[in-house]
Amino acid sequence: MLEIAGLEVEFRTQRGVVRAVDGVDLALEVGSTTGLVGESGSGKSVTALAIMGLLPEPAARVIGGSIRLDGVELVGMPEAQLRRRRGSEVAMVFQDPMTSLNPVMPIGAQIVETLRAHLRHDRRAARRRAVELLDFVGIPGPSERLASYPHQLSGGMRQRVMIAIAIACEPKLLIADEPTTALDVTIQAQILELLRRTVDERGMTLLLITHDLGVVAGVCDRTNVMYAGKVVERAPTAALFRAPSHHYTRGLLQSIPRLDGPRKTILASIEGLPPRPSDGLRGCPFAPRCPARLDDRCWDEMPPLERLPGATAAHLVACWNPAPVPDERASA
Amino acid sequence: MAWYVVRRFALAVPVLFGVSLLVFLWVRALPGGPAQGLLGERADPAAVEAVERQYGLDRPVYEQYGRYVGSLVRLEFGQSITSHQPVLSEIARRFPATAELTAAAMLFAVAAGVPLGVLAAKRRQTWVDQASLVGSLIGISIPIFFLALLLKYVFAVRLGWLPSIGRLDALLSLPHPTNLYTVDALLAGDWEAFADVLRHLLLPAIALGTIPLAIIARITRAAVLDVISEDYVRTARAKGIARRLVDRRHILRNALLPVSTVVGLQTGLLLSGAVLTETVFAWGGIGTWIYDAIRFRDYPVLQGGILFLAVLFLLVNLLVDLSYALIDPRVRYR
Repeated sequence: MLEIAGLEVEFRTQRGVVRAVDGVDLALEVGSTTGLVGESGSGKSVTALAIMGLLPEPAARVIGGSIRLDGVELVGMPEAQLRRRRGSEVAMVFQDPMTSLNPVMPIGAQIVETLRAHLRHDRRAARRRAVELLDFVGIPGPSERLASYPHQLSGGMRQRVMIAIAIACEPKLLIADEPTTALDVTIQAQILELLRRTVDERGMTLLLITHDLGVVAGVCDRTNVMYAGKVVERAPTAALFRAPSHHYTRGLLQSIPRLDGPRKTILASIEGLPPRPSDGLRGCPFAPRCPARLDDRCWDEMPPLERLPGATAAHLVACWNPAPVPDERASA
Repeated sequence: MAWYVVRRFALAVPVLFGVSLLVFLWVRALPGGPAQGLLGERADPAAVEAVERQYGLDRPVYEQYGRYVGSLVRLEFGQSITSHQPVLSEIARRFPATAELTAAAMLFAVAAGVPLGVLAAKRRQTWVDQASLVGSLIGISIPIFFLALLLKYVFAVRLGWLPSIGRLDALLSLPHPTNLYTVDALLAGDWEAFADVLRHLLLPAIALGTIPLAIIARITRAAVLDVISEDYVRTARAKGIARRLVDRRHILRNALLPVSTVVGLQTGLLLSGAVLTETVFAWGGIGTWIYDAIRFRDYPVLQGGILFLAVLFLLVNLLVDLSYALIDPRVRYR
């Protein structure tokens, strides 16, 4: 339902032009849940904003590629048409619920205005629907809560309200950009559970953006790992965790602290820093930090995203020297 | 909220006593006194002495202050030494003129300044923004008496579109129950007088409102630019609601908080009288009254008038603080 091909987004900054998204391809099937993983600056949020048509113009701009939603091209679509699609066909849950709701407007009104923007609800119908939505996302006493202001709710509750707003008009595609990053760990699990239940029950397609592989593991069927504006590995989530083959993915997985390991070990980290998008590397952007880089090729030539030898057809990696799939489990 | 207001009133009492003492000492620190003001510089010393005795100015200063505070507690403000009118009735006559002019000036300043600021913010770093910056700088720095004279010259003298002085045409008669001439005209149902009052208000209001307009435009621009990059504005845009709703409900409403502070402070300032504007347009308000009182060393008028202005200032500030709670639900007063 969503097809992104060769997407390129540039930011014009005072220190020059920065390519934040550099040739991303992505295809989401109806009802699937897809993870987009990477560290800050890898281009994952910019990709999401490009889908929404909410890139901070005029600084940022799509300079190439296409984004099609149900076959309709969104790149270059006039703002008025994009606006009609935002909220009704594609909706987004943002990272920080503390700042993403209007502080001077009751939450009920913030839900109702979304409904009334897209559906021909009268005031009372919109209100009724807002109560249903708050009830669905698990806010106790929903009809009394309509008049509450954001500051009267906790962070978790606010994120529930954000989800209620996002799903108000039953969008086909829900984008969640780091929806749990700003929340306590216990609340994180609840919000993820709510997201999963929402897309399951309402048949939505989910694009989940996070830096946290643990979040992806619990929610997504498929996972894309992004690095420096490019997708470097793509696989069904289970396969990715079983056989991570891009050395960046492996590094990410190794940096997750384990409860069952020895207590005194130093947490693994990836050496070095991500390249600045302005560095202008020719080869693989991960080459400077890669433990398995090949001397000439990795520096000079960007590897294409291709099927990983010995793995399922769905497992793609952009690496000249990927880590091999473990033999004993390759058939699984 | 009610408790908060009560507490603010209680806190105002010591402030007002402080003001009364300062004003009392300040007027006596001015060279000369009411006797010289009345009789002139070459007055007969015996006549000066008589006047001073008449007003109790020959008594020791602490005794004078004691008597002054005593009369304040009884809510007596005395009479003007020059006009022999009670200070309170002078205030009742002149303050409405100032209030009416202030209201008109602030209306002009807000109605033009807020949209101008929003426009400059939305078109930032374009010629619109630059033009509004230059316009604001001119508005802030132009001497008010010069602007007043210029307006008068162009619109009253050269073009003859608007009257040049006063509040009402001398040929029109109007009863003055409130001394707010617009209200008086409405109460009398006299539309001709109402239109004439508005015509008289226009030029002085523009002259007086230009500085607040420029300040409000700049503050609005800054506030809108602050708000425009907030996450909740992005959320609002992500909802797909109309752009004008994003502007009004999400951007402007949040940007109004700093703007309302400036509006309040400027209103307080204008209410304390605009000597220059009132002089140019022969507007019998508080500003010229206090100015004349300073020239004639009219102690009761200065003491009473300035105390009245202090009360007014405190009230305006209280209203500004209370307006925060109306604009921003996070503000709660206890």
